[in-house]
Amino acid sequence: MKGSALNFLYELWLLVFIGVLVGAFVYQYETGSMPCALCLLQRVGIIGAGFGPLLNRLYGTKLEHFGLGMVFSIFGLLVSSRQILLNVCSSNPPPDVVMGLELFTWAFIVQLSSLFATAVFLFFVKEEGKQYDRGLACKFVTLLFTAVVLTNVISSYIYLVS
Amino acid sequence: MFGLLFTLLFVSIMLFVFGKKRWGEILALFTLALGALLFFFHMTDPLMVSL
Repeated sequence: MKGSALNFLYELWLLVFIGVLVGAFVYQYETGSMPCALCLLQRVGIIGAGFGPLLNRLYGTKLEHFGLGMVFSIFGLLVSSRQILLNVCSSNPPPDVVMGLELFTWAFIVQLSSLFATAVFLFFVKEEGKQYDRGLACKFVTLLFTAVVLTNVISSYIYLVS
Repeated sequence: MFGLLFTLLFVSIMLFVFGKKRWGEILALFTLALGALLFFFHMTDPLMVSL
């Protein structure tokens, strides 16, 4: 696969994670609900899973970058599956439903898709240390990702004081 | 505690962006270990892990 196409896919992949994190924020502030501990841990998993495509875009395709994203994906998968199992056993109605599925089920699907995407990428791409020029799109996506993580930092301290 | 986790992730990204990739990776893995510890504590006693 050509470098430019690959870089575009990495940027797209990172945009998916940004979309998920922004969606969680919008839902949270729209409903005025505080996220639980497991929800925040799932966000940690999603942010960390974004490190894979981010590093691949910034420093060229390397197996260790995929590995870093994968361990965070597996962590997020574990946390969301625990929350799914807790709610299976619970007699209470599901708390936050979006398009027929609970938010933690969506998180599970996102993490699983990320793992699947990593496997597909590992199948098709070759490791190369070549570092590509950080174009405008790369800078924009990196800045957006950083801004979303910074928003998470600020809001987590707001939960602490409120 | 979660504020610390997100702050460490943010610092990792800053390290990636400013060229300190290895340090960023180490910090990211440390954050993951911290998150795993929190997850373990949450499994043993959910009330122990507060926001």
